Amino acid sequence: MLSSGVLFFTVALVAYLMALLLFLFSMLLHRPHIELVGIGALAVGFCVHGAGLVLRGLHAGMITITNTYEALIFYSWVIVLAFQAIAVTIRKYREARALMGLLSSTLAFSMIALAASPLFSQEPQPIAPILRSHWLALHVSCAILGEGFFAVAFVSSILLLWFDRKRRTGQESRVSLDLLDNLSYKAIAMGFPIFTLGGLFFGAIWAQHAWGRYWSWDPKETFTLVTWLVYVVYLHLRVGFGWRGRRLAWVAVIGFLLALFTFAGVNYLIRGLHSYK
Amino acid sequence: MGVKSQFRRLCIVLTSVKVALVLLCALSISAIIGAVVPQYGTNPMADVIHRSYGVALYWIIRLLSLGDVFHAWWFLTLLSLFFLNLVCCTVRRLHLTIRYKIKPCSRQRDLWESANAMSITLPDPPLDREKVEKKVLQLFKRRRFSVVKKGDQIIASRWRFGYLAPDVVHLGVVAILVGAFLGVFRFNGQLFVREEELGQVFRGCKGDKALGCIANVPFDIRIDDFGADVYPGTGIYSGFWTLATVIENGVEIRRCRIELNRPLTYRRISFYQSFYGYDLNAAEIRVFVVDWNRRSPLGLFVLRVGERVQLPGTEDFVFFGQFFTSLTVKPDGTLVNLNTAVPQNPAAVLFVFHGQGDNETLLGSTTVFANQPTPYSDSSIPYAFYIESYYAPRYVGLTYSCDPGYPVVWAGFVVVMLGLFGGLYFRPRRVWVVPDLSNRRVLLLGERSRRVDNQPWFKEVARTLEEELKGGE
Repeated sequence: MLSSGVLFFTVALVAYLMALLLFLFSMLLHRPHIELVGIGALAVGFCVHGAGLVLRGLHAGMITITNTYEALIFYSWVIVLAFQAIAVTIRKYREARALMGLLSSTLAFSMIALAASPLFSQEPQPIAPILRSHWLALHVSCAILGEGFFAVAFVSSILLLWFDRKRRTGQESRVSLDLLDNLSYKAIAMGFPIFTLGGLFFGAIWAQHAWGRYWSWDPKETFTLVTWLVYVVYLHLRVGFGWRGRRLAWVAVIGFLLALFTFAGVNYLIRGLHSYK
Repeated sequence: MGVKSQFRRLCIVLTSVKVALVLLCALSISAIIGAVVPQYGTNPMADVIHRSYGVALYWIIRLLSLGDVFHAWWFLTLLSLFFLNLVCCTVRRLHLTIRYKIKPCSRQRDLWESANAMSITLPDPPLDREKVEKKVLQLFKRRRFSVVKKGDQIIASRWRFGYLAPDVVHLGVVAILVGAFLGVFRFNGQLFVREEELGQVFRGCKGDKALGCIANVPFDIRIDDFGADVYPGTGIYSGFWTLATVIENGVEIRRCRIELNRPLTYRRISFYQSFYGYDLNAAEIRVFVVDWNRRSPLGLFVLRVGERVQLPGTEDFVFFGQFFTSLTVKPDGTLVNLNTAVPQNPAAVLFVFHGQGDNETLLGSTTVFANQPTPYSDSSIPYAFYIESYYAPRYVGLTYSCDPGYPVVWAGFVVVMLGLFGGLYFRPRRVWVVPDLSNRRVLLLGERSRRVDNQPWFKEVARTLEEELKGGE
């Protein structure tokens, strides 16, 4: 249990749950210092989570992202990492940071809780021969890292849509919509090159090495491309057409939902070369 | 309307970003359709599945080639239009970027009062122009901006070449599409070798029409050995390998171990480890048959898949239908083919017929396990079968291919990545500083297309400049 990192992941799960509750209390009770404790809990969870990943990787002799359980565990860690990276840029805006923290820890907690459910085996499994490659580490980790930033963009876009709706009904918005819009853009701008590098570039190199074809129109490849195209549209609409606010937030939401489907849905619903479970 | 104006309109459409976005959306939707609807190229049951959707949908799928979306004329047209749009957009953008962004150009006076500007009031008594300009130059040079003086304006810029990033990305995508197009000239094939063929030289031949040789491969290849590794204590494969020797003009050039993720590449042709397994269609069993009713042995028979043999003293025939390396019986009685690497529970499916020719009738079938004495059989068969030994030849499958386009695709990817990281991580900054001494102020102007007055770096520059100007000498 120790070498497979499961104990560490359980501690991380509890820490994320605590962070989630602390962010929630901070919002409801208007106590900014509770939010700082929440950030601390998230940071502790993140470190323990990371240690678990390292331990599991050392035990297996390679980066462990070879099945859905491990991918969910890694994804959850990456979401917290991306949130921490973005949180640095909004340290002056406590309200926004608490809200972002609440939703990011909810996402991270959901993923790690899903991984810990009996649906998935937690013990390391023998991996498929095709996955025994150093390209696995580069391809999957970069793709998920990019998606972690998309998750943060999704969170800020959801907040933007929520506050925009409140503002339209005449209620006061506690967080600047411009700030949320900028955060969403920043997260996408950070995640997009990493996602391109991992999801498309390294994936194509690996496919060429393993199958002799860099592109096969496999469902997972196709959905990765579609996700990429949606974010291309996002960047063009923002930079080229000056779109801001609600309409652009919808594009970010669609992009993340597609990324989520590409990550998990395709493996289970559509038969293809990437059907690793 | 003249030809010239029509051509101009066409150019506007081709270089339009709106058209590009529409094409991107159309390509995305098409790609989703191609991923969701089973495709003929990857799913042998595609046509059967399409028929199950109903007549109307099946007709639509046939009409629009939705079963082969990525080769359909309309998809290729969309892709070509996108390519054309991208090339035209890039050419136009590149021209404008170099002209207005890379080369310093001064801002027109009517844009001075725009919202994207910040005004710094000069102290009393005001500094002369020379001193103001000196302070501005020092301030920006400390921040590693390159500074150019043009007329009465100072233009400070940093990471100026970042303006080219979108064009670099576009050029990279163009290169990828060109590489993909060159993939039309790619060729590939498969080479299957059974274990009795080990040591045999497989002749390569130029051209794809020749028979009995590896098409399009200008050298020979000998398969010396092949095998599979398994995880200890399990029947699960951990890897496959093939020992191959490249022979050219009768001379051994290279001996190489081909593994998954480690192809053999010679003369730009790569051989990939693709398949490994037991040739179950060539399996052979030695089966002992007992007449269940008479309790007497009928003898030992050697059977290959697809062969039949008459049981002595009867009108009955045994037909060897299928062989499995690992078949197991679930608690509910159903059979599950585990298809493991190492035969764990080999089994043969045998059919028993009475009579032959037109009078042939099926008495029943039985599944006989090599490791279990009890046959999983039909009670109507009056015989018991016991597998004494079995043999299934192993085989290896290598895929070979040569794609002249992929180096271009790789180059395109590198260019795309440079553009993306350059453009999104090192965003260019540019400020126009206008010492407007007649109004006792210094104007800091940002770019028209991007708001800078709320950017922390812009605010910091403005604040520092104000402090330095107030500091006088």
